[in-house]
Parts: sequence; C-alpha cells; structure tokens
Amino acid sequence: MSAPTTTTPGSTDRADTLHFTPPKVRFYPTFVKHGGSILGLALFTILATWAWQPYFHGELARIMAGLGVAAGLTVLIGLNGQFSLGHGALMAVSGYTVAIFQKKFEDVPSLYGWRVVISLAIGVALAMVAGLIVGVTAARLRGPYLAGTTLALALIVPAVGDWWKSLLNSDQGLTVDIDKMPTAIASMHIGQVYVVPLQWRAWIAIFATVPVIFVLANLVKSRLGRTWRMIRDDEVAAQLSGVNVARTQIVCFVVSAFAAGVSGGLLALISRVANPGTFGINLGLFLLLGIVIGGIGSLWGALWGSIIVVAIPDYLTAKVQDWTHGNNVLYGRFNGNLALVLFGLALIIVILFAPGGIQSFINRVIAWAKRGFQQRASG
Amino acid sequence: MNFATFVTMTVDGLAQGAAISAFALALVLIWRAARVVNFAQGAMAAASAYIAVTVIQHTGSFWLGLAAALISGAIFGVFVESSVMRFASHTAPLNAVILALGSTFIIQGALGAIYGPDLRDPGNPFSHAYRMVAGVGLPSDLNIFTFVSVALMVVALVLLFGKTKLGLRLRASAFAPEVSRLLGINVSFMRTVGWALAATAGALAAEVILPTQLGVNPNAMDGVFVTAFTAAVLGGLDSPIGAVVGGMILGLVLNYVTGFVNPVAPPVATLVVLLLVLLVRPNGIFAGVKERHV
Repeated sequence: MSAPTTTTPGSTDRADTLHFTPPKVRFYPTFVKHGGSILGLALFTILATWAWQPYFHGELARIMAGLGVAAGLTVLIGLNGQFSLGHGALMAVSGYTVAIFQKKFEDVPSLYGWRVVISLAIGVALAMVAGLIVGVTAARLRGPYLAGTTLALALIVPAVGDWWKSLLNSDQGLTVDIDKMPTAIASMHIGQVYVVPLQWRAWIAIFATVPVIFVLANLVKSRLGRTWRMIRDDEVAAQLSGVNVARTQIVCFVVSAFAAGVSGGLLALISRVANPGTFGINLGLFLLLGIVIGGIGSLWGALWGSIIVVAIPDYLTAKVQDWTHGNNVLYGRFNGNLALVLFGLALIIVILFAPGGIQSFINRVIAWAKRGFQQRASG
Repeated sequence: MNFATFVTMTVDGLAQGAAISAFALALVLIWRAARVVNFAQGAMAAASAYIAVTVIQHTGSFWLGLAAALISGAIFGVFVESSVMRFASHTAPLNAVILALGSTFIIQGALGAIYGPDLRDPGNPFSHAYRMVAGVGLPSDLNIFTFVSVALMVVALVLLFGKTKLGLRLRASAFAPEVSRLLGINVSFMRTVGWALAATAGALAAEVILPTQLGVNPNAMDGVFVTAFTAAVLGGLDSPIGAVVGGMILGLVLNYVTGFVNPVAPPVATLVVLLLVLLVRPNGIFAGVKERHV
C-alpha cells in the first residue's frame, strides 16, 4: 500500500480529486468565543433590566442563581453519567456559610462592599470541600445506589440544622445581611430611571454566575470534558485507554459542587435567608426536573430549565390567585400543586418521547433552517 | 439511662423496624421483578394512606380503611407500572429513577390538590401507650398491631412465592426472563403482579408508620423511603429476608440513636449506615457469592 500523497489543505489538487472543500480554519480559541458570547449575553441582560418591572428583577436573580447549579448538575449527570439529587445540600453548605460570614464581617468597616465577595468565596470553597467528600463516595456508587445515597444526603439538611442549633438555628435558619447598593451604582441612571435594589441584586447574581458558566463551557469542550463524556459512554473503554475513572469522576463532582456553591450563596443572598426550607429536598428534585426538561447535558438546556423552574410556578401562583377569587381553601390546594402535576407530566413526556428536551428541539429547528438556506443558496 | 427505658427503646425500635421492613420489602419486590428502585413508592404509599383516611371518615371502620389502603395500593402499583414505568429504558437505569420521580410529582401534586395542605389523622385506633409492667414499658397496642400485620404479610409473601404456581412464575421471570418467556410465562404480566404486590406492602407500611408520625400529608413517606432504601441495601436489595432483617436492624439503630445521641440524629444516622454498607459491603449483609450483573 503506497503512502498517501501529502497535499496542503485547500490546494486545488485535493479539492478537485476528492470534491472536498476543507472547512474554514477557526482562528480564535474556544474560550474567546465562549467568553465573548457569555459576556455579550450578560451585558445585554444587564441593560435590559432597565426596562423591567422589579418583579422581573427578582425573577431574573433567582433564574441566575438556579442557572449556575443547573449547569453544574447537567454536566455531572448529562456528560459524566453520575447522578445527584443532593445538590441542594451542597448549596446549603454555601448558603449557610454566606449567612454566617455576612454576619461575622458586619463590623469590619474596611470590608464594606466587598464582604459579599469574601463570604461567597468562603462559601464556595466549603461547598467544594463538601463536594469532594461526596464525590469520593459517589465515584464508588452507580445507578440507583447513587440516586438513593444523594437523596439521603438531601434529607439531612433539616436534621443538621436542628442538631447544630446554636450555629444554624434549626427550622428558622439564618437571615442574610447584605450591604446597601454602593453609591456609584445607586447614582447610575438611564434618563430618569435609577437602579433599584432588586435590580442590583439581579446584577450581582449575573456577575457571579457568568464566571461559572464560562468555566463550565470551556471545561466541557476541553480534554477533561471529553474524558467525562468518555466515562459516561463506556467506563471500561475509558479505563482501558488509561483514564483514571474514579479521579475524573471526583473532579467532575467537585466542579459541579463549585457551581452549586456559587448558586447556593446567591440564593441565600437573594432570598435574604438560609434555612432548611430554601435548601430542602425539593430543590434537588426541581433542579433535576429543570435540566431534564431543558435538555440534559446542555448548558443552554440548563438555562431553559432554570427559567422554567423559576418562572412557571410563579406564573401559575398568580393564575391560581385569579381563578380562585380569594377563596383561600381552593388557593391553598392548587397553589404549588398544579405546577407539581404539570412538571411531573412534562418530566415523563420528555424522558419517554423527547429525551433531548427543549434544547434538542431548538437544535433541530436550527438545523432545519440551515438546510433550508443551503438549499435555497444552491438551488 | 436505666434498664426500663432501654427495654422500651428496644421494643419501640423493633416495631419501627418491622414497619421499615414492610416498606423495604416493597422496594425489594419491585427491584427483583423489574430491576428498578421505585422512587415513587413513598408517594404511592401516601396516596393509599389518604384513601384509607377517606374510607375511615365515611364508614368509621378502621379495618375497612386498612383493606381499602391495601387494595388501592395494589391498584396504584398496577397503574404506575403499566402507564409509566413499563416504558423505562433498560439500557439507561437512571431513566427509571427520573420517571419514578415524575410520577412522584404527579401523585403528590394531585394529593395536595384533592386533600389540601392540612395534616390528616391516619385514623388508627390502636393505643400508643406502653403496657407498664413493674416499671418496664412493654409493647403498646400499636406496636403489637405493627408486628402482627407485618408478620402476616411476610408469611403471606413467603407462601405465595414458595408454594403457589404464581409464585414460581414470579420467581422464574425475575431470575431468567428470557427462559421464562420461552416456557410460556407472560413475563411482563408477572412484572405487573410484582408491582401490585410491592405497592400493597408499601401501603401496609404506610398504615403502620403514619400513626407514629405527625399525620398524613403528600410528603409524609419521603423520609421513610430513604430509611427503607437503606434497610433494603443493608439486606442486599435482592433478598426479601434481607429486607426484613435490614429493616429490624435499622429500626433498632435509629431508635438507639434517637435515645442516646440526639432526637434529631436519625436522618444523619441513616446516611451514615447507608454509606457504610455501600462502601464496606455493597451487596448487603446477605450477599450471595455470585456477583450481580445489572
């Protein structure tokens, strides 16, 4: 067999003989592209908040808090094949830590304005330590065993709050103290419209979530990200090609705990409280629900998921309020439960009939549109 | 801590263990029939408990309510299996978990909408008071009811699986579905029967556990699910006897932890036991020699 003749890519010789046009070489690295699109989207959203009612600022802040952990979880479940219902507990670690340190740094005037950053950093670090501990265990567990164990983890949050009452104040939890808007921000305005506190809180959520998404987007496309997917697809093959499966899984768990830590701290800052109700068992279940419906394994899917999980229950609450005309008994019955039933149905339908969720539908529409353009261009 | 308290604690622990066993059996039966851990079991059991509450309210008879709980449990089992869980992919085991969680959402949402947010009294007439004999608390009526009903259920299951043709078919289709199919057994029907049996066991578990808790609500069995899962894993997830023994051990452990460590410690203790078992003896204390292939 003769060695293939080497040709420079793109030379007419090769294109003629093989009818092959080489793809355009991308001259900018992936992280520039990701950084650009994520920052662009974030800046656009920040500008857009000026046109919104405070209600939507609150929604945006919670969506952003959900986005970070959802992205971390979708990478863990969708790309690494590990499962977790216990990310609510990891978020609790960070949320409670933020609450404690916000209080502790209250009387340190030199930290003014920066104590949020410091306590969030401590919270994230502790969440990552917790993630490391859980991840070491999780790397030895599979399938339903891992699901059950992480569910047990999610259930200990209220018990730990009760047990360590002096620090965590059982069911009541801790209130989270935050600084007022810096004067520089408070004096910002477009026309006569000044920044409102809720808007500023939404910005904080955006500032904190952007780096998380940036890190995840790049890791997913990196060598490490490919190794994660390799383990998901075939653990034995990964092992045979020299991948340290356990260590790689643990790294993935810690990365997703990092995302959960940022989100947990944000959730505490936004809701101004860290208690077992905020970080209860339902948080982990709703996160799973969001990423499955949004499209498991996709960061965009995590965004759709967190929008759905935050916005739909609030929308339904308002609707139920309208429908029940102030009938408190009926309102108590349908508020929350209607969303629960609809989410359950959606979850089952997505798993059985549309495993790629919303993002795969969007991808299909984009592909269909592209094909249409190409046909029109060539024909 | 004197001797009398210790005896009472042990008795109570065994009763709690019997209740956990019943729920763990429900998980084991479904695991054997379908290789699925039924994460919807808690919500299904809560649903049958609500049915019992309704029946007891209307008829005034606890026994009719109990019967309604068991029958409706079986019906829920058949319904959840044939409408959702049957379609779970066998290549992706986590899909079954997610489908079961979806069913849980629907069941809990529906229960909340139908029965409202208030806690309901499960309507169990048996007394919680211990029989005091020379200062030592001996089993209460509720404890005895728990022991007897769970024991009856275990005996019934043993007879069913060991002595009847249906039991033989159930075992055959659990262990060798392909061969059973070739021999003319309707394996998918057997799977449905397995779900019905399991859900009945879960309904009984709810009837003996809920009287010891705050009351019936859609999430009342969530914590019990994790405890029973731990018991089932402790016993090996494949072994009904293991589930019963695992449930008893866990019941004792949790009750001692409540008494000696801290009343709020049981969820933490459950997690610790679960981790210890999974990391030290992942196939449970009754593990056979053969490795399990899933």
